[in-house]
Amino acid sequence: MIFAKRFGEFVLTIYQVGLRFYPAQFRKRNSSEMSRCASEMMAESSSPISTAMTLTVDLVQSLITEHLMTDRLKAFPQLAILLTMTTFIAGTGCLISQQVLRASANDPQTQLAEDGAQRVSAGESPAAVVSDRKISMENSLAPFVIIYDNSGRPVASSGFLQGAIPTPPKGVFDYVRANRQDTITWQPRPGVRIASVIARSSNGFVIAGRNMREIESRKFMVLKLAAACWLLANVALTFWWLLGQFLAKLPGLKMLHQPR
Amino acid sequence: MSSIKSDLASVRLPPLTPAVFHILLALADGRKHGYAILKQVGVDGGQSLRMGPGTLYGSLQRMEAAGLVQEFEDADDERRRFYDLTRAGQRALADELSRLRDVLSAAKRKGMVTPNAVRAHGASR
Repeated sequence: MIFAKRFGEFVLTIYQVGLRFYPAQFRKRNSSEMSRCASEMMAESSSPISTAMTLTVDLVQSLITEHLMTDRLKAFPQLAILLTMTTFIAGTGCLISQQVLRASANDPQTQLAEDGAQRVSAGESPAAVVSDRKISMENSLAPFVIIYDNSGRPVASSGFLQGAIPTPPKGVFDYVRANRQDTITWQPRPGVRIASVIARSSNGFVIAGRNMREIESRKFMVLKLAAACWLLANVALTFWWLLGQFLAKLPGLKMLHQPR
Repeated sequence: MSSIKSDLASVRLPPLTPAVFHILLALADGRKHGYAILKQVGVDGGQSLRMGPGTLYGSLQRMEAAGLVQEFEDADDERRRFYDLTRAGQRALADELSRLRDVLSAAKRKGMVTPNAVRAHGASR
C-alpha cells in the first residue's frame, strides 16, 4: 500500500515535469486541469502501473501531436520545407559520391605500400623495391613509391617533383610509427595533390602515391551534376507550389477546400 | 432555397477520430468536467480505448475551436472547466452514429455479425 502510494506520487512528479514540454500556449491553458486529471486517475486506480503506462503513452503521443499542431509549425512555408529537403538530399548524395571517389583513389597505393613495406622488412634493398621508371608526381597519373629511413630521410624513389624527392610532414611519420599505416591527401606543392598510403617497414616507411588530378576532375563533375539536379528540382517544386497557390484561389476549386 | 437547405442538411460531416467520437458520446448525457469525461470514455470504450489527459484536452481544445463543444465554468467549483455539446456537436455525433449503424447493417447483411459474435474471414471471437 505504501509502495503504491509512493509509486503514484513518483509518477505524478514525472508527469508534472512532462507537462513542461508542451507548447507554451497549450501548457498555460490546460496544464493545471491535466495535472488534476492525472492525480484523480492515479488516486482511483486499482492498478497504478497500468495507469502510469496510460499516462506515459498519452503524454508522449499528445506532446508530439500538440507540437505538430502549433501555429508556428503550420505557418512555416511548405515550399521552404521542400527546398530544405532537396538541399539535404542533393548535399548528401554529392558528399557520399565524393567520399566514394576519394576512397577509390587509394586502390593501387594500398597494395603497393603494404607490399613494399613487407619486401623492405624482408631485407630487399630499397632500390629494388621501387621501379626503375622515373615518374613526375606533378604530371603523371601513374602510381609511384618512395622509401624513407627511420628518421624520415628518403632512400629510394620512383616519384619526383621537379627532380627532387619530397618529404611529407614529420607528424605523418609519427602517426605511422604508432599506427602502422595511414591514408592521407598529401600536397607537396600548391596545386599538386597526391592520394597517398604510408606503411611502416621494419626500418622505415614506404609511401605509395598517385596524382589526384583525374579524381578531382570527377569529384567536380559530381558536384556540377548534384548542383544541376538541385536547381532543376527546386525550380520544378517552386513552379508546382506556385501553380497550387494559383489553383487554390480559383472560385470553383476553393469551395472544395472549405470545411463543411 | 428550401431545397438547398434540405440538401445541405442531408450532407454528412466527415468521419470523426475515435477520441473525438468518444468525447462527444461521453457528453451526450450532459455537461461534464475533464476527469468525468475520461471516466465515461473508459466505460463506453472499454479496454479498446484508453485515453489520457493530454489527448483529452488537446481534442477538447480543437473541438471547441470547431464549434463542437462549449466550455463552462461551474459556480460551485471555479477551478474546474466543464464542457457541453453544441448543436454542431450533437449533429456530428448523430452523423457518426448513423454511419456506424449503416456499417453494422452492411456487416449483418454479409453474415459477419450474429447476436453473440463478430466474424471476419471465417474467424470468430
